[in-house]
Amino acid sequence: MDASRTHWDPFGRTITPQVHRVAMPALPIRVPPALTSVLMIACAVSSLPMLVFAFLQNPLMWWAAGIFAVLLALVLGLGVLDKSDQRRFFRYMQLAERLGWSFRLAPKFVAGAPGLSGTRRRRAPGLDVSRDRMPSLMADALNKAEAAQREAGTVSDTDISELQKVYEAIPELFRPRPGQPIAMTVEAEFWGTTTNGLPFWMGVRQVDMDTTFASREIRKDLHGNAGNQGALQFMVAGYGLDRNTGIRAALTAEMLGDSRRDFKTESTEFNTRFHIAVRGQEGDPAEIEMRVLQALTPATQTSLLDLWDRYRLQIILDGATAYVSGYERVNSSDEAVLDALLPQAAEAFAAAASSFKRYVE
Amino acid sequence: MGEMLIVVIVFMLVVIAIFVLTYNGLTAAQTRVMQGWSGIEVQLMRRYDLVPNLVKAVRSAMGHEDAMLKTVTESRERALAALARGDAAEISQQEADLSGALHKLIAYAESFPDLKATGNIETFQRQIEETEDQIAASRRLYNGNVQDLNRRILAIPGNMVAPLAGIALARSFELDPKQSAAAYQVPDVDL
Repeated sequence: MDASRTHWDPFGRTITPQVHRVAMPALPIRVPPALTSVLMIACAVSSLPMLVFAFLQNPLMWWAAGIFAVLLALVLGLGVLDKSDQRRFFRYMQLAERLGWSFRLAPKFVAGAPGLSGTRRRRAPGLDVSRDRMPSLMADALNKAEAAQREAGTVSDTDISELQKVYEAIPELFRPRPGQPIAMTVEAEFWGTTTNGLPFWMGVRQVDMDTTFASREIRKDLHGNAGNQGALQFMVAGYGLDRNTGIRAALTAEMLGDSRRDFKTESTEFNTRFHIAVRGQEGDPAEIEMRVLQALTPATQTSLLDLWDRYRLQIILDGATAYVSGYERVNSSDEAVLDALLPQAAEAFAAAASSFKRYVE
Repeated sequence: MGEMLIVVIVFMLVVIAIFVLTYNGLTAAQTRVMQGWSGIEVQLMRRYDLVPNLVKAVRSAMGHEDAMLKTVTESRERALAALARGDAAEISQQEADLSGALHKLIAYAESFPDLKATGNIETFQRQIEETEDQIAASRRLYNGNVQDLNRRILAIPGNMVAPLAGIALARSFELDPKQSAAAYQVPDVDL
């Protein structure tokens, strides 16, 4: 890759073309999904007698606790043997290479990130003061595990300040909201250009999903895939519009009982889905409102509604940059199906971002 | 006796509160239906305003093809008249006729090299297509508002309050199957 070029980045970071190397997972042990579901059910069921015996102070509680611990260890252990993280990062790397995008992993714990990821203090690299106080066997094991992770390419070398800029710039797009009960954090970043030549940045996180206990609606996704296993793909993207829209507004998910003041368009459906608010812009409120509403033409509103149906879309417009976030549930473990999600989302989000620019033109 | 009176008063206050809240919700939904209809009218007017410029641009090159230009102009006049009357079904039909006439005219005008070279036809085609997208989108948003209003009127307690307030069910703005097929048909170009 040409190191003299840099990618467009909405957060002002200098990003040279790069693809983080991830080693192909060696001998992952793929357990049939049905077995994972059975183990999870057994684990959940075995917790009940443990709790009952513990409440009754019956000596059988130790046997119940032992069974529960074994089942829990099996469920967690299978996840480790599966090497799902490494497989996923390897897929990201292959996707980036195939599409000509740049890719790097994000640090796991970033101070200032939403949710639990922001709460743990990150140890400075190379500093193993705490391990001096550990038994040597444990310290050796931890060091070997870290070395193995670095060799596999599943550890990020990116400084946390790079990701802090992201979370500070657009915190609204990472927060929990209706349909997304957990805060989103970024596990991988991509840079590229859409088919229409629009430069973009995208942060993603994918979590594996088991819908064994879920309702029928959740066990089937919008593409017709039906199954108990799949993935939930969270995406946040930034697009560089080649023109300043003059608008600084946020279209976020409308919450139940939302008392925040917002603008209303002529569409009941649009107002139900989106909370439209100005974001850090000073001036005559009526004039700002008019400009935002003028940009929300009927065609723009319907395309945003369609994207909301698929991705639960949220948008922040910031002059010449548009940030878009959404998530998608896919009830399929087929890697080809999962690989198609990101480029489709990149193009769909770009269309939403560009629709505001078209109006201003 | 006093307690009975308090219960009756509280009950009446609750009924009045429900009536007021339901009435306000219905009128707000009705207002949004009217807003949605205004949105459609705005987009329809944008298209009507494009037609004279398009006719002017092609008239000089097409010369003897006044019949086609006359069809477009007359379709526009009929559509404008239907819009003024506010009859959704008639507007829908006239819009389909105007769409068909415009697409035929543009397809035919593309066969004139002089016109094609100036790029005017492509510009008008793009503008008309954009306007038609906006009309379709406005129609969808309007229909969404109509569904919301009708749902409130048919549900409890709206079905009791609406007749008292004189709020009736609204009609969606849909193309009927024949008009829909005509609007989306590839125009025949008779050279």
